[in-house]
Amino acid sequence: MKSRAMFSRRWMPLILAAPQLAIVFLFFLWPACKAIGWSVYLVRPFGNGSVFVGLENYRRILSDESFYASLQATFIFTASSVGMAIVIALVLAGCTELNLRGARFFRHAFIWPYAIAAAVLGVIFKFAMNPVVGAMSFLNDIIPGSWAPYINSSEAMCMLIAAFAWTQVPFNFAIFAAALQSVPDDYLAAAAIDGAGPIRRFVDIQLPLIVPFIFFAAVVNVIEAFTHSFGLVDTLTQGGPGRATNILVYQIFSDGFVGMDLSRSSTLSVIMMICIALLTMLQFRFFGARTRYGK
Amino acid sequence: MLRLGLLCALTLAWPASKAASFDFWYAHTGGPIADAIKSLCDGFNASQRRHRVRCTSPGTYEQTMQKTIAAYRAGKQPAVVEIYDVGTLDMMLSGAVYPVFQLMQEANQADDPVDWQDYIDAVRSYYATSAGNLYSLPFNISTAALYTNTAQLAAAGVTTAPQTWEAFQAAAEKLKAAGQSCPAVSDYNPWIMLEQIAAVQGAPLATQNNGHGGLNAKYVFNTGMPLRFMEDVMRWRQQRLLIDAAATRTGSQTLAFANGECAMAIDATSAWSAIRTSGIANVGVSPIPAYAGTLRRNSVPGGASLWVMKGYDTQVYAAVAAFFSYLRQPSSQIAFARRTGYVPVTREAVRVLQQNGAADSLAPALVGISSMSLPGNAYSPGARLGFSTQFRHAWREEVENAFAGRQSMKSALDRAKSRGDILLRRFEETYAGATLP
Repeated sequence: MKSRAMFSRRWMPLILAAPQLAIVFLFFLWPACKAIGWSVYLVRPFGNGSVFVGLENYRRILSDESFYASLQATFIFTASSVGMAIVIALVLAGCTELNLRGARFFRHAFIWPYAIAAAVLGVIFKFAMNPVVGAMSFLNDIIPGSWAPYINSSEAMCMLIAAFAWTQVPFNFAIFAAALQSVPDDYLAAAAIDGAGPIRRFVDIQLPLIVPFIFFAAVVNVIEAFTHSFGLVDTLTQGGPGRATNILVYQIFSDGFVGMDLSRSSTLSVIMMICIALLTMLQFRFFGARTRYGK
Repeated sequence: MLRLGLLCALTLAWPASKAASFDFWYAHTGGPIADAIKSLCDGFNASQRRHRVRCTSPGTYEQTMQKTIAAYRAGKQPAVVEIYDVGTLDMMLSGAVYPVFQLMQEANQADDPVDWQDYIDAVRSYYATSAGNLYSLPFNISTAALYTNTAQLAAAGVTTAPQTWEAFQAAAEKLKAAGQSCPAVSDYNPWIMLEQIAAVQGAPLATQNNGHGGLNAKYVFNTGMPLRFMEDVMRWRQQRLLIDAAATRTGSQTLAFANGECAMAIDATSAWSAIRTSGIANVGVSPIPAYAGTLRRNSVPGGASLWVMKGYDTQVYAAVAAFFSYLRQPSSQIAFARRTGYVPVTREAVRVLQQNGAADSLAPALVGISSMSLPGNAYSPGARLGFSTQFRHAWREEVENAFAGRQSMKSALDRAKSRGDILLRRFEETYAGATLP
């Protein structure tokens, strides 16, 4: 008789998984349920006497033009920063595969910046982007007033995108560097013998073989951009100038934690949850399909 | 046996004064203000042996408010917490606080009652209910003042600090002509650019006496003096008489003044600790200007007050009352003002201060007192308006859009008003059925 690695009773695996399930429920599902609950109430911060309003909070937000502006800013921010983070990480990872001098060192060095917290990076960037003493101030020496991210909304958005991409590059680099190591050397050697240069080899052999990893990095980056970018926004632009960089997650943070408007904040969270779910589904549908090759 | 008898007698004689300790959450992390608060806590613990206060800081003003709410919902609230000015209305309507006037009344029956009228009017009315009772203890009170670099002003031929906005403009023009690249600096904080200006000119921010009369107030700052001032600001900015704080080396208006980059700044009196520690000499402090030919009213307080949370027994509240009595002593207030630039809040403390001959380190506090002590009108108690943090955000966004040339200042303030009104209506709905105390 064939021995099977299965538990004899149905509840045994559940008991073994219970601690994990409890943690997931307590720290992930319960807050999410609470947010959905609060989104149908007008919540008073201290709780004494909240009013049930049904879908009124959703109606209010969905009929507010500033919500759509914020949504647009969120998509611009997400698409640009994720694209930038992936391209830069790919280029860096591709270069470390070229067996150049110092490649081993850089393979480690490019991962270090991942340890820097977004808020700290925000402060550093704020200094680096200062219009008087920062790295970009030379623009103001050429044409005065040409670098003013505190008043020019597209410059502010570019600054934010660059800063966020910077936080994601090390993670992507680690993934891509590891993925490139798994590409068989024989393919590359054969291509080299056929006369393919490094760029040709990268585009035709390495890139197609690591597409699943790029897809994975993109999903993680998008979720990060949606959920974890508020520290950066808070230190760099506070959603300004005007409301140019007031992306959804920052609105949730500033409405709920600073403004004490827990209902609006919860409603926005639920909307954002739906957005992320939809986006991830789309990513799986369109990109996921292409990654199932050779099976 | 005798000792035991004595102990019993003591316990019977003062049943309410049993030892108690309690938590006080303050909202400053690091720096001279946090140090000054810690000194007050140590001072109280050293001054008597019965009660103990445990002082800890959960973080900034915003973080302290959030954590207080979370703690209250979990039943773990501190007995005393420092909440910033814009949180006042939420706290008043929370149903979670023990009003300070009641606390002091019930705890101090035998002792002499607190003379609340001794508080500077502008401070008392900002935190008092419509019946004139203080719900929280005014603690670190600041107001706006004009800081001038007297050496740079003198070099440009300006010998007196500007008293009016006309003189302010003239001074800035002279400074610019004398080669000062940053005559004046501002970060366009609505607490100063809207709320203080409106108060000093006696102009309304909102109907219902700026919200003190009820939750159904509507914003009205998009005309009159607040509009005139912001249009002037826009012009000064275009003429480079007023420089954006973000365009200075440090990005902060306080530091841009403190490091000598800018010659004038309208800032809080509590900016004093940062300015003083920078070591700059020749600092002049004067009340913020008013338009020539207008009647100057009191400026309004900002900063924070101390709230007592529900959920403790009388012994703890007796300890809290003792702590508050300690904080209210003129010597405590003056020591605190000296280190921080915050303003003493009782007339008694002000008298003691003036008798002792005020030192230089108290200059901003004295200016703050005289600026807040001017007679006011119906709008002088400052704003009591819901969701005011979001409103300040909205005002700033619209004003930034005007600076960027996307709209006129008039339409910026119109839009800020209508966005503010939406927030006020939503706040009113959130607290439907509740009435302002």
